[in-house]
Amino acid sequence: MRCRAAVSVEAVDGAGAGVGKEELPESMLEQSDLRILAPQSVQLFRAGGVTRLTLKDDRSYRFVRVYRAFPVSDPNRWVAFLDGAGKDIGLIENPEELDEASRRVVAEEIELRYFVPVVCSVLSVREEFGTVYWKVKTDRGETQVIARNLRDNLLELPGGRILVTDVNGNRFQFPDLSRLDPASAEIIIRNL
Amino acid sequence: MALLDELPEEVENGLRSLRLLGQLDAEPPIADLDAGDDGGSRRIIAFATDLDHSGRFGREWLVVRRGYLYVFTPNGGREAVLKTAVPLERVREVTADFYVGNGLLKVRTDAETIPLVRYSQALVSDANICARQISSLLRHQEPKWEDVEERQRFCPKCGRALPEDSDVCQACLNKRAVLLRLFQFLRPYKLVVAAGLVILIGTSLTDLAPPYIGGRIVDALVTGRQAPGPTMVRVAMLVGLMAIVRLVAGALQYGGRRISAWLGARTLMDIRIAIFTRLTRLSLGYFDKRSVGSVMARITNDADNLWDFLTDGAPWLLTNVLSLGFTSFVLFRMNARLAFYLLAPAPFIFILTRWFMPRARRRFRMVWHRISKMYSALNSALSGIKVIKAFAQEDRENRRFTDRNRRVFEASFAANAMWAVYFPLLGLLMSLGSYIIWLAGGYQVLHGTMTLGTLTAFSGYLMQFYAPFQNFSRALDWSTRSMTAAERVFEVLDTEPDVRDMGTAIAMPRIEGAVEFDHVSFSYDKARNVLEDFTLKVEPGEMIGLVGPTGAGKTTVINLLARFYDVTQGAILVDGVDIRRIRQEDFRRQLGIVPQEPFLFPGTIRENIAYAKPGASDREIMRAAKAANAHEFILGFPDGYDTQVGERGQRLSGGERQRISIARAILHDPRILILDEATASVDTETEQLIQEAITRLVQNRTTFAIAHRLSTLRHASRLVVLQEGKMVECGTHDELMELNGVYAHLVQIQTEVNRIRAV
Repeated sequence: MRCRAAVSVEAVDGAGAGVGKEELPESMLEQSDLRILAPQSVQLFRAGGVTRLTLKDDRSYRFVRVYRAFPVSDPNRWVAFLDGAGKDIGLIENPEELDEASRRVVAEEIELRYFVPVVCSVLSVREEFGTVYWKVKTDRGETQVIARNLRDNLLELPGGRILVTDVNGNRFQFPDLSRLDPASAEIIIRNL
Repeated sequence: MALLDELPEEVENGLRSLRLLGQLDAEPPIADLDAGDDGGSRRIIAFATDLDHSGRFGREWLVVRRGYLYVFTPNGGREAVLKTAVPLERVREVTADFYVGNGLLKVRTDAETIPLVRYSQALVSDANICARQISSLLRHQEPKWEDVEERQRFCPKCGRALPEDSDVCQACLNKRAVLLRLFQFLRPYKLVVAAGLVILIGTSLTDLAPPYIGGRIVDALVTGRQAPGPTMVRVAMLVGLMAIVRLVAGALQYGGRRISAWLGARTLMDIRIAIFTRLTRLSLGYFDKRSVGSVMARITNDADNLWDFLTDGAPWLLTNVLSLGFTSFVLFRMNARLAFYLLAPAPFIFILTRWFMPRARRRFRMVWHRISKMYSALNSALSGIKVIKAFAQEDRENRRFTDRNRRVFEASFAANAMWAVYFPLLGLLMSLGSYIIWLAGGYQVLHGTMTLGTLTAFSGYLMQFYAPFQNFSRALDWSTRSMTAAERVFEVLDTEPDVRDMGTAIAMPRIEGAVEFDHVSFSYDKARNVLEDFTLKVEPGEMIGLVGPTGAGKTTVINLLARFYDVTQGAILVDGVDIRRIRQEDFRRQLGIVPQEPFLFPGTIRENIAYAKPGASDREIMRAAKAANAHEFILGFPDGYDTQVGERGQRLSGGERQRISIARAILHDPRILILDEATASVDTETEQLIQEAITRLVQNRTTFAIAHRLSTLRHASRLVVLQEGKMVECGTHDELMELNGVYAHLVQIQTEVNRIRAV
C-alpha cells in the first residue's frame, strides 16, 4: 500500500513537470535517448523490503522495478529498470556482468515478476470436446494445464517453443514439438 | 459519353441555316476553338444532354461556336432548332448545379442568370467538365481536354450493364481464350497433367469392361448348356477378369484423385499468390474504386470457383466426354441399329436438365436470400433485446421472426419440391432406354441377329450412356461461372498501376528534403478539382502545418506528396526533380508517414516498430521506442517488446498505437515526414506525450503535418491554410495572426472551445 501511494505522488509530480515545460525541446531531446547503463556503475540492493538502485556518482532510486525488455524472444538480455513512477532509469544489456549481490537482486525480482512455468515433461494428455487436459511436470512442480480453444491460446515462440494459456489465464511454456510426446504434439500441430 | 468530338448533323444543319440568316457573327469577340474550319484537328466544346428543358427524357445540345453559347433542341427533322444563344463576352460565370437526380448547367451575365440545359445524374461529371471548359474559355485559356476515366458502367462492346466491381462483361467473355489462359497455370506441371490425362482415359476404359464381360458371360451360359464343365471354367475366367479390371480401376481411381487434388490445390496457390502480388503493387486509386470486400472476393470466391473447376470440373467434364465417346463406340460396334435407337431419349434428357437447372438454382438462391433476411431479423432482435423489452414489443418481434421463418419455409419447400418433378421425369426418360432395348433388342434376339449377351451388355451400358447428357447441360452454366471467375482474376492480373515509374526513373539514394508544389491541381474523379493551382516551396528541414476545414484538400496534399496518386496538373518536385521521375523505391524509403489511424500488423511490438527496417537491432528498436515515448509503457506489458498486438494480441489504446507508429517512423528515419492528424483521437495528456515524440521526430526532416488542434502545430515553421482546394493563407503563426484572416478566426474559435472545456 505504501509503495502504491508513493508511486502516485511521484506520478503527479511527473505530470506537473510535463505541464510546466512548455517549450523545452532540447532537454526533451536529451532525455529522450535510450539510457544504456554500464554494469559496473549499477548497484542494486534491498533496504527495508524496498528495491533500490544506485548509479555510481549519480543518484539513487527507490521502489525500482526490474523488467525484461524481450521476455519471450531473448529473456536473459536487456534488463530494464523503471523507478517508482514508471519512469525509465535505463537498461543493462547483460545482467551477468553485474556484481554478485546486484545480480541476485535482479534474479529475484525477475523470478517474482515473470511466472511462466516451463513444462519439462507431459505425464498425461486427454482431449474431450475440444478441451485439452494435460498433467505436466514443470520447473515449478507438477500441475494440471486445462486449455480450451487452443487455436487462440497458442503462441509459437522463437526456437520452436510453445506458449499455452490455460482456462485460468496462466501461461505455460511447452518445449518444442520434437521434445514433446506424440499425442500432445499432434494436438498442438492441429491448432497452430 | 455526352461530350461530343464532333457535332451531330442536325446541329451542323441548324448552325448552317443560322449562318445563312446572318445571325452568326463573323469575328468572334472571344477566340474559341472552331473545329469545323481547320479540319477538326482541335477539339470542340459540345455537350449532348439526356433531358430536355422541361425535364422529360430527350436530347438537347449545348455548343460553343464562334464566341457564342448555343442551345439546340431537336425538332424531329434534319435540322435542330436554336433555343438560346448567349455571347460568351457577356458571360460572367458558368455553373453546373446539381439537384436531386438531375442538374442544370447555367450561365450568369451581368443582367441575369440564364439556364441552358438540364441533364440527369448519369451526365453530372460530363456537365462539370463542360462547365470548366467554358470557364477556361472565358479566362482566355485553352480548355483542358480531359478524358473521363470514370469507371465504365456499361460494356463498351454490347452495352450491357457491367457488374459493380468489375469490368468483365459476362456476355462478351471469350470463353475459349480464358480457358486457354487458365491452362497456362498448368504449364509448370505438364508431366503431372499428362499423368492425370492418362489415368483419366484408363478409368474411362476400365468402366467399359464390366457390362461387356457380363454380356459375354450370358452368352457363354446360353450357348454352353451342352458342356457345363468347360463353360464353367470359361465363366470363372471371365469373372476373374472382371475382378482384375475392378482392381485396376480402383488403383487408377486412387491415382487420379490424388493427382487432381494436388494439381488443383497447387494451381490455386499459384493463382492466389499471383493475384495478391499484383494487388499489393497496384496504386491506391484501384482500391479507392473498390471495397475491400470485393477485392478480397477475387482471392477467395473467384479463386475458389477456379479451384472447383480445376479439381472437379475439368476432370469431370473430360470423364464425361471420354465415357460418352467410348460407350457409343462400343455400343455402335456391338449393334449399330440398337445403339441408334438408344440415342432417341438422350436429347430429351439434355433438354430436361437444361430447362430445370437454372430454375432450381434461382429458387435455391431465393432460399438463401430469405435465410439471410431471417438472420438479420434475428440479429437485430437479439442485439436490441433491451429496447424490445423496454417497450414491451416481444410479441411484435415474435411475429416478425415467425413471418420471416415462414417465408424461408415456403421458399425452401418450393425449391426442394422442384426435385420432386425433376427426378421422376428423368427416371421416366432413362427407363425409355430400357424399353427400347427390350423391345428392339428382344426382336433382334428372337430373329437371331443379336445374342442375348449383347442385349445384357446393352442394358449394362444404359446408365453410362445417358449420364453424360444429363451432366453436359449442367456443365454448360457451370462453366460460364468458372470462366467468369477466371476472367475476373485475369482482370486483376492485367491491371497496371496508375502510379508508375517513368521510363527514365532517377535513382535518388539520398534526398535533401526540398519540396516544391508547382501549380498542382488534382481531382480524384476528374469531375471536380479537390486541389486547385497549389504552389508552395519548402526548404529542407522545414515543418509545414496544413490547416483548414474538412474537405479543404489537406489530405490530398499529402496523398500527392506520398505519391499515392499522381497529380492531374502541375508537378511536385523533390530536390528539384519531379517525383514521377524518382524511382519509387528510393522515394518511399525516404518518406515516412504517421497516419491518423495507426495500423499495426498482427505480430509483436518489436516487429511492428521494425516494419520498415526488418533487420534492426534490439538497441535501435528500443531507442526509437524511447524517442517516441513508448519505451516505458512497452516495458510494462507482460511480454515487453515481445507483446503480440493485432486481432488476438494485447489491446492497445489509441495513444499507445500512435506512439508505436511514431517509433516505426523514427526507426525508418525518413527525409520527408508526413503527420496526418497524429493526435486527433487521444486525450490531452497523451497528446502531450505524442507531441513530445513528434517534436523529436521532426528534427532535421522536412515535415508536413495536418492537425485540427492548432496548438499541435506551434513548432511549424510555416502554416498553410487551405479552403476548398485553394491556398488562402500562408505564413508563420504570428504573421497569420496579424493578418487576422481565416487562420486567426480558427485560432479564436479553438481558444474559446478550450476555455469552455477548462471550465
